Amino acid sequence: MIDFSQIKLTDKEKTEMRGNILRSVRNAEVPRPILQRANIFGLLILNFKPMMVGLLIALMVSVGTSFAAEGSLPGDLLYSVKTDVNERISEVLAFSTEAKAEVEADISERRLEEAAKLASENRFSDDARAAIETNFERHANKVEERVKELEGKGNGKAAADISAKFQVSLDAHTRILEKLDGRVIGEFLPKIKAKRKAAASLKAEIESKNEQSGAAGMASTTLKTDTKSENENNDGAGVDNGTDLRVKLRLGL
Amino acid sequence: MMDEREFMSSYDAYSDAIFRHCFFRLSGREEAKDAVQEVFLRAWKYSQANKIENIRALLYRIAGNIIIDTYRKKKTISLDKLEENGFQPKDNSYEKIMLNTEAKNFIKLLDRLEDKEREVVIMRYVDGFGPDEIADIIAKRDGDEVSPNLISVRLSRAISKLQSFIKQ
Repeated sequence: MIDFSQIKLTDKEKTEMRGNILRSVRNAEVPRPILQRANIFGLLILNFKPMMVGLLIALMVSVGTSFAAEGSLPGDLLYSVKTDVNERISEVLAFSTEAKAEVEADISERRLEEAAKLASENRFSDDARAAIETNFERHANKVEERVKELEGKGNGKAAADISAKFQVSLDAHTRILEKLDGRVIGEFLPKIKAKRKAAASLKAEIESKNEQSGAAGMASTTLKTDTKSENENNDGAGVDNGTDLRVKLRLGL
Repeated sequence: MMDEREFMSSYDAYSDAIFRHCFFRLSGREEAKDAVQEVFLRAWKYSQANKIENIRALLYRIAGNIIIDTYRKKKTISLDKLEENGFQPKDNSYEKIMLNTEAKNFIKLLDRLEDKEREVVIMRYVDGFGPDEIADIIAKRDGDEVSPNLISVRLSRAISKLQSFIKQ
């Protein structure tokens, strides 16, 4: 019989990894977001197109203001810069349909984060909720549109993936919002759940179409639950531990 | 909430075992290394927001999740990849070469099992967990009803399969 204890990290590997982990532990690294963050500052760094950057800077109120707006919430002075300037730019900068879908998902998520932050600070007024709800629905609808567009272009796999990831992220946010004051969150939660259901159905639809047409390499994106969830629709999809934690940590909860 | 020292000593205690687990399930050294690091990073983040009763079980649970994520990214774990990735660091000692061959053969066999079967075999015979512990770890991760009985059944089926492979 094999002596399994011989299969292990070398001392060098072990020490090196230990250093990496310790560094991360001490720096309390900001967790990577669930979806590729199509944040305009991320894009500026990753897709460095000098001419575009110059144009953007000319257009923006000021880079500093734009950046400062990122953390703002409904009711804050800079909130309109966040939604009308920053997010608009992100949408424009996304070139491929896939990127556009991800931007819309990203923005939708931001509304949910804002809702959670406001609710936890007892600042979730009716006005704020109405604004966030409308905006969220608009962007969640766009996710759906882009996903369908992506599928129409023949990229069923990416389309299903994005829909699946969106659904997972909505699950994670729902679980957090559910724990906050129900009176305050009010009608918003059912709307989020409706979008989540739509994302799940869309994903299933796309995958079954691909299976029927015998598309190669189209493995079903199954997600596992880590708790007994009270989801009314038991379609077997859920949230993995990692997603839940990342969302919680990003919200500082 | 876990403090740094406690956490790093769990790394010292369990990193090799987690590596071993990932190594057999992912059939590759490099993937296993990446997975181990990710396991501990996630475990640390979790430990900062949650109380941890059993760090060892948590690490295996997280490893299981990461392994599933990795499977999803690649459709099949091919044997060619095994050769590419390499089993051991460059070392010519006789023991290492022998181990190499035995491990390779073992992995070839494991490769022919279903994911769920492979998982229980590894957790039982590589990691040394009993059916109770395995059931506990998997149940908490997947949220399914998984009884130790079910695990024992799954295990004996897997072993029978392996035995039939060997006979071929």
